[in-house]
Amino acid sequence: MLHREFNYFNTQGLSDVWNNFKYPNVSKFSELSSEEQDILKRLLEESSKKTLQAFKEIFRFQKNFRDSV
Amino acid sequence: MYNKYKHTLSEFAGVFGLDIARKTIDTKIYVRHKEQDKVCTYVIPLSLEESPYFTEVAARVYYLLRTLIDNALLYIVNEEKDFIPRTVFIDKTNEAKYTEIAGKVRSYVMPNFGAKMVIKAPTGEDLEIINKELEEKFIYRMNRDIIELDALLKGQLIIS
Repeated sequence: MLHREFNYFNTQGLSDVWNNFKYPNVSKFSELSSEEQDILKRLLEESSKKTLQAFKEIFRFQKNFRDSV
Repeated sequence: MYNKYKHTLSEFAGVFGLDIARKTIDTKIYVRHKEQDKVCTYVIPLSLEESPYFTEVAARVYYLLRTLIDNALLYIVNEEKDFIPRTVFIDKTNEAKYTEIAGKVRSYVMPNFGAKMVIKAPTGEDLEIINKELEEKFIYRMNRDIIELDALLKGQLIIS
């Protein structure tokens, strides 16, 4: 049986991933040009999307695995 | 954050090898699971057919959990100020650009973290029982904890 925390696991969104993985506010990095800040933000957004997808695939495994016992 | 994830990123506790003498694939993953105050350990065989799938799932769990912990520790050592994560999940073609940009920012620290975990791996008679069950059911539920909880409490976080 899946633990109730899987409800959060399966319904979390990109903002949850961003917050939980402590992704930065790129505008705080004054060493970077605005163009570099935009690129960094885009890459972090790509990472958060892939992270969310990985969570969903783990959920699929956990649901199949735990519900089968 | 711990409460959000504590039961959804399970511990994948061990991988064992091939039995060359018996010419059998003897590799297994031990997954520790606690449910309704009872701890059990799932034993999952890695046959050639199952291996790629389980490897992929295990890798995702490993990297997500490791990155979560790493980022949480970096958040602490940087006194809750913004930092650029050392691990991100992006296309390989973008990795060089990410590293280049991250290298320009000097306003945060990026130490390495280490820890030690002691595991009671099954041996002898237990392994024979597990292998026999796996031949028939393809999964074995071990009704005991393979992690040394006392060792966990005494463990140390190493920052270098």
